[in-house]
Amino acid sequence: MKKYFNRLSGLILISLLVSSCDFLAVDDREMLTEKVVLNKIDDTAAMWATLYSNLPLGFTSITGNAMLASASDEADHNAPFNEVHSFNNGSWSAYSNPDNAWNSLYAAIHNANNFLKVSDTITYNQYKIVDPTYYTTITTDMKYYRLDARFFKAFFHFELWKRYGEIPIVNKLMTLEESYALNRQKPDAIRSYILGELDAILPDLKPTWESAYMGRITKGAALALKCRVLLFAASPVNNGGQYNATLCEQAASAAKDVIGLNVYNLNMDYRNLFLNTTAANTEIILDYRNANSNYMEKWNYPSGGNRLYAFAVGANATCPSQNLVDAYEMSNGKPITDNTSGYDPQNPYANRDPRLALTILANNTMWNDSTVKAYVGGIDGIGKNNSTTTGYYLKKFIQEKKNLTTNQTSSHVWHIFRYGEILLNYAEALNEAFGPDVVPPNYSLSARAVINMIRARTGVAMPAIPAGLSQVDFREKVRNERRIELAFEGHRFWDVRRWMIGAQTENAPLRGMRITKTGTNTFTYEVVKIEDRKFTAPTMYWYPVPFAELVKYKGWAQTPGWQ
Amino acid sequence: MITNPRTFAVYALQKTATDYSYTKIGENSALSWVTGSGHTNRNSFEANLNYETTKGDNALSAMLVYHMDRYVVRGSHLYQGNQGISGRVHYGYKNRYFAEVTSGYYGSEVFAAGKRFGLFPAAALGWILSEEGFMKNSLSFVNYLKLRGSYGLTGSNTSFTGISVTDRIFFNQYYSGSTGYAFGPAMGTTKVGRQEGRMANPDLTWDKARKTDLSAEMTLLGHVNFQFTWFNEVRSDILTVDAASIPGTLGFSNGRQPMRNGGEVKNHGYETTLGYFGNCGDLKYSVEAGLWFNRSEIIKKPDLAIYPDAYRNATGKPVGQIFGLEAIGFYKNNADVANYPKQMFGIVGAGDVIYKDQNGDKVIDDNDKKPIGYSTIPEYTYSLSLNLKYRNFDLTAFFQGVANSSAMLGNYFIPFSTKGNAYDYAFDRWTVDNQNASLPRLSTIDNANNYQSSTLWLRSAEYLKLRNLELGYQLPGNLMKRLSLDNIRFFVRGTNLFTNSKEINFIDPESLTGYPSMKSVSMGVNVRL
Repeated sequence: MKKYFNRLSGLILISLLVSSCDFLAVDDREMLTEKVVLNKIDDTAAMWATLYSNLPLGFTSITGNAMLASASDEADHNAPFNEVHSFNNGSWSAYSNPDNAWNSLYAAIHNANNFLKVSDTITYNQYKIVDPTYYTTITTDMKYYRLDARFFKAFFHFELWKRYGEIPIVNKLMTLEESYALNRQKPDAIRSYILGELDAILPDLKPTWESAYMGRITKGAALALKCRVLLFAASPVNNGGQYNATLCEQAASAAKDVIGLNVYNLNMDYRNLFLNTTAANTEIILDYRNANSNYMEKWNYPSGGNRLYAFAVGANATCPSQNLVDAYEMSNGKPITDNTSGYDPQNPYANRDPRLALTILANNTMWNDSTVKAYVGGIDGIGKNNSTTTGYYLKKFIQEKKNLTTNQTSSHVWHIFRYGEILLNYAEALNEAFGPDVVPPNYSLSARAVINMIRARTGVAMPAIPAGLSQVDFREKVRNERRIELAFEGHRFWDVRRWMIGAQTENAPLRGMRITKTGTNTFTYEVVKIEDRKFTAPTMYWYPVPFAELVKYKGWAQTPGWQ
Repeated sequence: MITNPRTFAVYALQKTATDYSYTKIGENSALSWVTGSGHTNRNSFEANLNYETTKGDNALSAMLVYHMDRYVVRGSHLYQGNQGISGRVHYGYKNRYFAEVTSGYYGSEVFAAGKRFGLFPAAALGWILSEEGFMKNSLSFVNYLKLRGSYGLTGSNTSFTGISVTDRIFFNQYYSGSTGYAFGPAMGTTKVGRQEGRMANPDLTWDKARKTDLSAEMTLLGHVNFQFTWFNEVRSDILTVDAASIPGTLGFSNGRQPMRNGGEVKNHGYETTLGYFGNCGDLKYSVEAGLWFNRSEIIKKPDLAIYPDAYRNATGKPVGQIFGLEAIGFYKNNADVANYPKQMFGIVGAGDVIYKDQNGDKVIDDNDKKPIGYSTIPEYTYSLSLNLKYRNFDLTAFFQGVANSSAMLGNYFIPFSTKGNAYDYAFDRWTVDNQNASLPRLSTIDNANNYQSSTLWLRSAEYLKLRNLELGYQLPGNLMKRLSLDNIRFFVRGTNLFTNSKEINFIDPESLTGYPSMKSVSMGVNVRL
């Protein structure tokens, strides 16, 4: 009996060995494999939605939730340990960069490439006969999803280019070996790749979307990117310190095409422009559609005023600099440095460009049903915990009278492209190509006429820039106008590099206003140095490739000047 | 169903000029609770085949084992599966010479087909010298002496922890939810997001260890036991996240880099025990001392960044090596700050820690963190056990200790950090009148400069503990008989009664955070009927 049993168990063992080849096969039916994702239109569409979430949101774009403004002469960040300060004290490097964008931008490009590859294999032929209406809907959806993906590839390549200069172009889904073999490309190759993508999708893009899809990529967004790319390519930093007139003309032409769409207008309420996410805000070309929130209020509200909160506010504030405040003209159009401007250093905010009061919260102005007490010893003054470091608070983007204790939220517009920028691009490019007053053939507006459109905005109503300025004088006017109009919108940091003026503007000390209260409603004002700043030109016009990435490639050279 | 009609809101306390007021945050809502249950299922099958034969001086035995196992947690179809066959052949000659060959062929579901199974052979040789005639004749004080050597390959998949698919299966490409987006004037058209999860690596396979053991075991003079083992082990193909070699341009960064068999660690050391046992009249005693030494060295670690300063890299250093800044003093006053390189951790002033500029770049930052102290894993572990028996009394004691290990004080141990408390060593903090303090100035607001991992907070983690002490008394046998009982023993037992540590005397040096080992004293009686 025992003998038989032994033989029997042997048989069982052998049969088990034979029959259980797939005993270890994984049963992962709950998981989203590529096959599952491709089978469901909702999953494929979700991959497309992720591409939008990769767009930059400037309120939190720097490590530690600082704004890029605090890395330029626009502002100082009041949280002392925030990494953004390393841009200003010169300690940023290939080992630590607060705008740590390399990996996330390439991940965004990968997502777009993967979406294009994955969606390319779907046909939906199974619906053609059974449900022709549905077939038309989803094939049309997919067509626009794919156009968007190509836009994002262009967009994110430009974001890389303006940071790192020479960058690898990743135009398709790569294997590991292919990624190791990448090389940094020359600017001409990057420019023609980006423009090629944009020109390919432009004819098919819609000029506008129905209300429910407001915020999607349009013809205007693609033209605006084209305009920005061309102006960047035409700028001194890419042309040995001079503008390239040919590229300037192309940039102006792209701006002209945006104007010619007749879709966009200047918002006649400069403050509302940054708060209104509805279709009434026709200045938006592309913005980051972020949900209603109140973190910007928590970070930037002065402590005083109507107590709309039961906790400390202002711990992560972007504090506008005196350097920027001084750049606002007097309402008569003269700079404050002009002796005849009427500027009174002891009444510094009177009769200034109205955009100053719409952008920056200064001492003794109304906010949250109270006056801002930014003087020394005041509840919002320099030296108080979580208070301003410069004597000013940010007002642009910040909604007034939001009850933070009850967690009241509201909308904030982070413009990626807005019509105002396009007009400024037009003025800058056309001036460099033809001069301020020339209306070239096929154009209907001079550089001066366009910049005066911005200055004439209702509620701003700055005097027009007169005719007859030289190209150089007008250049300074355009640059100052851009600095004022686009303050805190994430442009200045790049403009000082593009114009190669960082050695002057970013190497100068950051200044603030020390205010002393001398009586009821009377103050004395003293401009003080907040901190010394360090900027090494030309090295810091471009980012270094992160060291950890550089070492992964054979024969890659670091950006000149960086180790 | 339990229902509770009461609802609650949250209130914030606000100070007004003369009084306090409460502001309600949110709406009244009911308290919530969670219930749960779990169900798991494990099926195993094992079959053994044994063979044994002896012919004269030759002894041969062989064994074959087949094993399969499947474990499922309800709610998921994923099972954890293992399957394998292993064998052993043992040959002995004259009870003196031994040879053994073992081999396993194992498979696991965490690897892709084709990479699933691994073959892990090992061999050992043994020689009992004390059985040899020359030993018996001329070295008769050696009661027993055995030499043994082995070399083998073992495999492990224990790095695949967790029961969810994404914790275990890294060879298939999965997609997962990611940030979506909202369109429309009031962001009313919301779309969920989707992207690839961790990049798949179909080449993953077993992590392996090649281990060499040489050992000697002996008994001398009938009273001394001695055992010594030397080992050398190289673990390779350790499962790591491939952060240091996968380029960002591939698009899988931020924790989505693939897993890889990339790590390699070398361990070598020895293990030895020495015991003495005997009796002296009615006193029976035995003493045994043990020492275990293990030094590790990281050969490859691809989940970590590579640093330009060689001292920052984990490779070449032990597993668990502590890195930190070298504290060289405190600023005497605010003006003193200008005399040293700029420290990048925050604004500094009088009484804050000054650190040494290790790489000479005139800036103190993370790049100045070098290996300081030992690893958090001790290199030496030692023990001493003692057994005494005198007539009806018995006493046992067990001591255990570690050496060559360090600890970095953080969190709770930094006075007032994260709004915490302070130990009394905080009295020796820097003040204007106490310039030679051991600790920097105290602050109730967190001070990132002073809280950096540094020699200031580095402590030796060495300790010696009395793990166990027991005294017993057994009632005499004649008394037992009268009570018709087999045995009655009274005892007093203490665990962790005593700890000695060089530098950590304010808390259990063995577990700085979490639960300390329990100190307990118990008394009892054992009765056997």
